[in-house]
Amino acid sequence: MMHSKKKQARRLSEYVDSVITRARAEDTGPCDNDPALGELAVLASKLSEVRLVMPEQLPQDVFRRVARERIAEEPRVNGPLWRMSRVSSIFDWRPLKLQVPIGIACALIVAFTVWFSKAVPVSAATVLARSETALASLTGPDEVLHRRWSTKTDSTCSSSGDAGVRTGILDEWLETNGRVRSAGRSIKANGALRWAYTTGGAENRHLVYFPPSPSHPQGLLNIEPTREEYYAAVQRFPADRQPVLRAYLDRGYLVEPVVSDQQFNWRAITDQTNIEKLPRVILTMEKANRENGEAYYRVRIAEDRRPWFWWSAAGEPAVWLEHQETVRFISAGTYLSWRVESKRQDDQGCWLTTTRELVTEERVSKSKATSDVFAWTIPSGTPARRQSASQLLGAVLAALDGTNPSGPRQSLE
Amino acid sequence: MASGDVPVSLSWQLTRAEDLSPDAVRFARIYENSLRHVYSFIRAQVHDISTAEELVGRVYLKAYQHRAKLPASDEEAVFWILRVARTTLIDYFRVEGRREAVSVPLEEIAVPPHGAANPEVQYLEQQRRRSLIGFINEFEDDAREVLLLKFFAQRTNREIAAILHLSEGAVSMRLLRALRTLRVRLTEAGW
Repeated sequence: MMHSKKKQARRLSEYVDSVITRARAEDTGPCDNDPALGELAVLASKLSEVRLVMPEQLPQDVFRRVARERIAEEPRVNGPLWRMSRVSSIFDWRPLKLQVPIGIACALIVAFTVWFSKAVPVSAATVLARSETALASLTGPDEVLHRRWSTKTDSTCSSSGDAGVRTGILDEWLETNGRVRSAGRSIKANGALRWAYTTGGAENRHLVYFPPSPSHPQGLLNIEPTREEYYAAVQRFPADRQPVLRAYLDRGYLVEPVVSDQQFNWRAITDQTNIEKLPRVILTMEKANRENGEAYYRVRIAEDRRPWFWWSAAGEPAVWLEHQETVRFISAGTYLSWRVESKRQDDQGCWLTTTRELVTEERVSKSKATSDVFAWTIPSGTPARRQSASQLLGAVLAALDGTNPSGPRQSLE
Repeated sequence: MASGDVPVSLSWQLTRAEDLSPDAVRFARIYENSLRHVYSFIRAQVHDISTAEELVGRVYLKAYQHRAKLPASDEEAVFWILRVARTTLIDYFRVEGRREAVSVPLEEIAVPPHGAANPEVQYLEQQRRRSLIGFINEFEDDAREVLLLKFFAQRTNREIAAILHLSEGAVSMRLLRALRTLRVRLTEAGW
């Protein structure tokens, strides 16, 4: 009796294992029932068909949690590779007794990096990921990173005959210690403010200020939705339209600091989607040397259909589609970009070529700064407009479907 | 996926912590291979989806913290993570002091492909599958674990034996007993 029970158990297990192996391989074809096992085999087949739907965001959420908690426990001495470039400045102020161990540690890190860079083939996504890493730990407890870029924009519109060259300065401030805050200010060639933004606070909300212009005589303070508000708004759209909106949000077009490197990195690295109306981002990379011999990565990010938008002070945002290619020049030593080139072509035959070149980069002590770069004052009486996430996402869908009205673009500039 | 690849969608988060070191790359790969099974194994035993998400997070956090102990082969590493999932659940139930009834709404039950054309068939099939989860949760720990590791974590007997530190023969016997009991209960319930 016992022997027969064991035999039946073994036979059942063999049968169930074959069912499970097929289920694991997503093989949905019919499975031959073993008649000797009778109803138990039928029951096992039924059970093997039960699948639970995993929440769409779970893989990202769990992994983010793991990464976040790891960062929290990671001592700063194991920080990203970019810090190696700061070795000389460490030696300037450290007491002599600390210099030897620091020197040994740095030498070991350099040796590991050289080994690592040779041993592991580097992909475009890896370079951008390391760049992201560098940015994530860029500043110390009392520091803000200030970067100044020179900008040049060439535009040509075959439909309207408009063409022009615009130059200016872009100042960016970034704080990444614990939380990410950023602020930026775009200055025209004549010294006038083009726009300014700040982001941060508990909600990480973006505030953008546009000074008075012919279309907005009193200027405008644009209050943009938060990341959470955008994702919550997606739920209000039909289920079959939600994936494309999530892909749009996941690419970070909206929810990352407006002009920082992080926006580029996020979009380029996280994107794996290939939704019909929003084809995936294509990354390619090559290694090159600057005139001074310094190695860098030239990472090209191509987007076949990128929704661009412009907030409006009066009503719905304008959204249109563009083809865009961005090339980032990323230092192989620090993984920070020093030049960005982008070419955009819209659906009305307009071309826009923008070049950003790093002019200066410095870490500034917050306690010694005369003012808080993340807080600015705007003229009293400036109207404020709280933008709607649902409105923007609705306009994005219309643009992707080709049903968006062709209203004014860049009306705030 | 080649062995050196890391899922691009995860790499940026990974690199924040460790700059794509080989063991972190491997962890990401194992994470991708095991998550669906770990989630199903846990979700089928806890009251709601948010508890499942929280516990899955704990599992991978523990696994990441102790990743130095990951077995050398990726296949065994998945068993190891399922073992972590099992102990995480045991700890959770111990702290809670009781097991709340499992509630799996129909929208969490995947639509059967053959019933998709007929909404009524689909609905009934989803209900039956939900009932099966309910019946399994009424079992004693030993039987429940074997059934869930088998059908929700999709493990073979050899793998279950490795996870539970049992012999394959013992797993076979437990599986036979559990399926027989389930069959009896389903008959009693009018299936």
